[in-house]
Amino acid sequence: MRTLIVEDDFTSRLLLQSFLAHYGECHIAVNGTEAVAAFRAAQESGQHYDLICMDIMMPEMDGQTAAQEIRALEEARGALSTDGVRIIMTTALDDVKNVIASFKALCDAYLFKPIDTGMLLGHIKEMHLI
Amino acid sequence: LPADVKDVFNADRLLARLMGDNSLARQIVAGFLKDAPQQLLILKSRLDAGDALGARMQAHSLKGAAATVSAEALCTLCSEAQEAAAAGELTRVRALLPRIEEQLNLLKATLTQSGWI
Repeated sequence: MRTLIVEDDFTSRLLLQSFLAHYGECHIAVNGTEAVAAFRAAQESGQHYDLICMDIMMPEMDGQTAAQEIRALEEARGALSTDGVRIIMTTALDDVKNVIASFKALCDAYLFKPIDTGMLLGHIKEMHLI
Repeated sequence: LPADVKDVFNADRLLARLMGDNSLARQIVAGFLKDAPQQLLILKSRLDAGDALGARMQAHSLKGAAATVSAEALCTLCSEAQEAAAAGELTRVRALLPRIEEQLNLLKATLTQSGWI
């Protein structure tokens, strides 16, 4: 499983990276702009990501916009979102409006922060990524 | 641990959230303590620049980090700072800074006493 972790907070990033490293290669982006660039580079090199864990509230470009741009890149290559990368949005509890908007931006699941690794693992299994 | 200590650092909740992985818990607690002072400095610089949106984002980020390590009282203070910044009340955010610093020091002391660091 190749994962892109998109998270501006160091501690949350450390948690996701340490946990997900057990299941495969993990790359890091600290905002939406970096995430879209990393996704595009992976697409061009043919080394696709299986999973993106995407924070919503980030500087420069937020997670929803980045998810929309990633889906647009997939669509430009003819991939349907159901066949594309799995995106889990991670969000604070006070951000419910954004969660609804995230589903419109075609994410596959969401996780409330602070991250519960058992719940994260549950989503990854449901998505048949491991 | 007494209730007020659990408010500073809730080890039970942290471990429950990490499927009981003590090693991962220690790793993120250590990472948080190393990073938090730097994040607090960034929050101060956003306030000095009168940047309400930047202060809000930074308080949000600190809140998330504190929640990640189950530093619950610190998380509450950062949440208050985030709300104050969102309302453009930067004086209120500034007034919260000493309490945030104090809570961070209390967290360090609690973690030291309980053998977490």
